[in-house]
Amino acid sequence: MEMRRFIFEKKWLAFLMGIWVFAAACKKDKTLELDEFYRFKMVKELKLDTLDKKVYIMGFEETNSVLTARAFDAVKKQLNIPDEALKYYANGEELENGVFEPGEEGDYKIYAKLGSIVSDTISVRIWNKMNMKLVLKSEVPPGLVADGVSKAVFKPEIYLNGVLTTNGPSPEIYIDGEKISSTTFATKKAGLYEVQAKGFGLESEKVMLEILSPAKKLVLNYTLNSSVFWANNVSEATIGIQAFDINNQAIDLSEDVQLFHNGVLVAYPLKFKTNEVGLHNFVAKGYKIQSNEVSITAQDQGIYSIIRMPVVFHEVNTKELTATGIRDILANLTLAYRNSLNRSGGPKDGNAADVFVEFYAATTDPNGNTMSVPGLDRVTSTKSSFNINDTDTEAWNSFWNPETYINVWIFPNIKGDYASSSWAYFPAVTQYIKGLNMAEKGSRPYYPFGVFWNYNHKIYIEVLAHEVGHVLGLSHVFDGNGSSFESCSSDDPDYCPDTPYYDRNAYEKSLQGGSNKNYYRRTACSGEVYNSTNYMDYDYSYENSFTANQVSRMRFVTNYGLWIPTPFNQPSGGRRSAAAGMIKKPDGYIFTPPVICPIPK
Amino acid sequence: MIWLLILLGSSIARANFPGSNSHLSEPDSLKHKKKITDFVRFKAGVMMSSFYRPDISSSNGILTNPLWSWQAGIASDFFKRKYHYSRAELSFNTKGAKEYFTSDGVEIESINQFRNLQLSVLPVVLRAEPKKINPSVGVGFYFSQRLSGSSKTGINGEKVSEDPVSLSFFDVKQDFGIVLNLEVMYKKHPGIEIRYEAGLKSQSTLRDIKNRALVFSFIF
Repeated sequence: MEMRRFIFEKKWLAFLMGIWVFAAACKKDKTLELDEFYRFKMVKELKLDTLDKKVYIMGFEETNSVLTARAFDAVKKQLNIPDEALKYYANGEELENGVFEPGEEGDYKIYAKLGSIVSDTISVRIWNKMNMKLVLKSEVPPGLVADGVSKAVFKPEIYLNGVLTTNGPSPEIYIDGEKISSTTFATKKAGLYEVQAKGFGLESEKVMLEILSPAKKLVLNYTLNSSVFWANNVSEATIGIQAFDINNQAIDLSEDVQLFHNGVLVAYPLKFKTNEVGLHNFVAKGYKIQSNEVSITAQDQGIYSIIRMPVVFHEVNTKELTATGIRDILANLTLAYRNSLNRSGGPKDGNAADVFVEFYAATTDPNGNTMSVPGLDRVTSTKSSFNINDTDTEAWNSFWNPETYINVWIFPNIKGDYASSSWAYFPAVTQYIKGLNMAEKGSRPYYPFGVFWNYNHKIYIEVLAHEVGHVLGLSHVFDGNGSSFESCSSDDPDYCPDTPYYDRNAYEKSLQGGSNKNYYRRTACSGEVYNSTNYMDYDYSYENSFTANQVSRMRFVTNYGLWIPTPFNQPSGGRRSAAAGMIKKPDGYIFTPPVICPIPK
Repeated sequence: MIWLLILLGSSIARANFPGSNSHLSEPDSLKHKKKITDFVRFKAGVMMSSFYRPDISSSNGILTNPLWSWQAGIASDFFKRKYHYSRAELSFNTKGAKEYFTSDGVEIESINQFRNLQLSVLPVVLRAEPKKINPSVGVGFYFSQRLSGSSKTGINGEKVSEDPVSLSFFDVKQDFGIVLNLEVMYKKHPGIEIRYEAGLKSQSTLRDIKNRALVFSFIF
């Protein structure tokens, strides 16, 4: 039985082997088209990756390229395609290993194939540098000017075997050896330029480009912040340059316009100040032309002999002044008259000038006695408050000889219309000057000549400087008659041309209401807008300047004015020790209104 | 797995041999206790499979370049009569194709293998008068469900490697088709089956590709 099973099994085995042999004999590999391969069957789009350029230039750059392609399925998903399965062709010829190696000049159409799937075709042009020529053409408008707007247009052209090419690479354009980023050129600098196209190791012929100056003329002008350009480092000349084209239209200045001061290049724009007396010449150069020459004379403000004036403060009823306090007050007053005080820190007037007047505390009283506190005369009044008539009456009781002292009365508790005012009197002069009364030398004062310094103002040195200015013959810079304000008149109210005047009423009105106030800004009757800096103006003013014309007026008064402690009235000059005496109220005295200086409320 | 099924089937067959005659129908008068092998038979064998593309005449045939694989499963006969009976089978098999694609000097070898669980039903199996050699022939149909699959690709003779993109091409995981079965049994020895299976359902929605298989197997 076992043997039979074995035999049977052998037979089955033989049968199976027969089948195997049969199948093996039938085996004949058949192949299918590559397109039928399943992965490739999913390819819906074969896309050849573009090359870096459309045109390659033999003899200048590498022209061989390794080609790549990508396959995408129906949903634009990229499929992994073996590189070996992709074939690349150039002009129908298969490229070995997918490398494009053009051997000669020509146009090539390159595509990839995956089985029978063909990619898009890209075109590549191969040019031979040896057969190329670079030509630079230009479109230059006649009379091209350097205005920064007018432009020359350049068009570099490439010729291949004598034929103009299109859609090729763009050569660079160089102007005076520097590459420009566009094919147009505009400049504000006139001159002759050398233009050339370069690229691919080739250079075009050079083209000369002449760009004319856009300006027909340069005009130099200036404005001053003062009536006279003083060599005081305060007067300021603003130098301006304007350029005009052939149509006389103003044009923007080019960068090459330069300003020269006495032949030396200076920065522009220029605000010129100097303390060098003399002529200062300015000229502008640019656009290959030169401006008119501007000459500014910096004038010396003049040096006067210093006049020192003793001052006595008649302190009525109060006892606050001390020797130190008086010394400080007069030191600051002196600074004001020496053009050196600027407690506000504001801008100075361009015409600001030194008066050359100094003040000191009187050391000897009218009786010739040495004063216990220099410059201080304490006065006791039975009144506790004062109107202007009261002050006048009290002043006559303590009126020291004004040709020896500057009398300054300090009244507390001033009542009435002048409660917030200080005031002073004008002097009389022996020589005519507009705005002051004349009197014979030796005439006695017919009003208590001096300063009435409101007790409430005694911390304001500028108020004292202002009132002393009246004593030395100065008027308010604004239009008005003493305590009243007027609108703009035709005449200069202070007789000083270098102090602009304005409508005080309009100014004070401008300070009422509104939020955009400018307290220091004035609009002169001439229309000029300026900052108030003059001591003879007041609230609100920087109060830091006497102008040159004011100095001239004050020096006229010190030369010819009565009742002032000047060499004119005291020929010996200097400190006085002799008894000066008191001034008595004249018989039949009639009150004369002073110059009232109310502080706005 | 295949060896486990073959060994198991072989041992059961031996336990029943030679008295077992489950393949043959028993006379109605013969009454004895049924064994499990009277109802369940085991089969195992080799399979040659390929893909059939109706629109390409040059498509690979099973015999020209088959994918060799295996099949194993169980079978049970029903409605046994003297000259006919019915059969149902449940088997594991591996179908697919080994193909070559070429063009422009590029040759791609593609091997696709899909492991399936297959139910085959042969409603009519005709057999002759029982003699020394007992042939039978049956027709039926099958339905299969893909359990797993793999695609491998080799380019220009290189070793094949996994190709998930190609695998994704075969996006249909069910199959059904017709079965033509020829079985020969010598006396009471295990039978030999030769079976042809023709799939009717395309295995891809992108292309009409159907399974074809020729199976040689023992049935115990």
